[in-house]
Amino acid sequence: MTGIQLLAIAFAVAMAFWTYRTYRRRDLLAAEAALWFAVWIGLVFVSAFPDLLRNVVGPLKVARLLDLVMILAILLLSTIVFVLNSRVRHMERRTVELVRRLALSAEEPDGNSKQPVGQVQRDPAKTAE
Amino acid sequence: MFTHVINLGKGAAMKTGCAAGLAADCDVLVLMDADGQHRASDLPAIVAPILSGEADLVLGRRRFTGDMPATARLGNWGLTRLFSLMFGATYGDTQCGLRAFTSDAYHKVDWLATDYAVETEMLVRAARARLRTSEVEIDTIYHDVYKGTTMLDGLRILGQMIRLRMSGG
Repeated sequence: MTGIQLLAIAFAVAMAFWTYRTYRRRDLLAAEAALWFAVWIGLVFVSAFPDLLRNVVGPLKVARLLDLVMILAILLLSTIVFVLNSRVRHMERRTVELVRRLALSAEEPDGNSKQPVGQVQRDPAKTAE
Repeated sequence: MFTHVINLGKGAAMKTGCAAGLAADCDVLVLMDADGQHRASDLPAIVAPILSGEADLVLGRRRFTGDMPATARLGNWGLTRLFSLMFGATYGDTQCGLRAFTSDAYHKVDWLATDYAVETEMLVRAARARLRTSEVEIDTIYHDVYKGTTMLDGLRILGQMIRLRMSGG
């Protein structure tokens, strides 16, 4: 076993432990933790037994096993970036809405409430209903 | 006075103000930069074309004279020309913060930008909705410490223009 294989296995084991701790803190759902464990176990498997996967490399027309791992990693990272981006946008939108509602419902200096939270309507026609 | 507990950006603040105006059944909404660069005495002239039924959206047009900081003058001039090239609609000043519109027009120009790109997005939506637009020349006060758009904001606005153009503008 080469040095890079040992390094990859050590990295995967450390990440699996970190995933476990994150899951125990309830920062990950069970399904998310399972997905990450699959990634780390897959990395250990590929690193420890590269010869077992050589049969897969040929039919996929990939030159080397390392290329296959890189391609899969890029696909996985692209998916993660997309999901994170959409979630950040969603959170950003909800934060803006929350802050706006707080601003519109804040108390005046004389103690009068400007407007109940959630009562702002964009369409005047709806207001008339 | 409506205050955001955290700074969400100019576009978000403008939207909150408009939401408050609509909730108060306002027919005409006026936007004015809060850095003191606009004169309240210009408000009647800005609102007049709307009250007379000539326009749905009225834009302030600043004089690009020596009073304006050189970088701001260059940025405004460039963005205004680029807007004309990219969207086919020509305005004298696409970045002026003093503008007014009817409550109906607001629903057509309602923007997504939370930052300084809001002015550009509003005009793109106005052009797409074929709103009747009018421009009024206004005075601008520039203080010793410039607090407006920076060069980085200008690049962000340019990026927003490209995005809007690619999305069918």
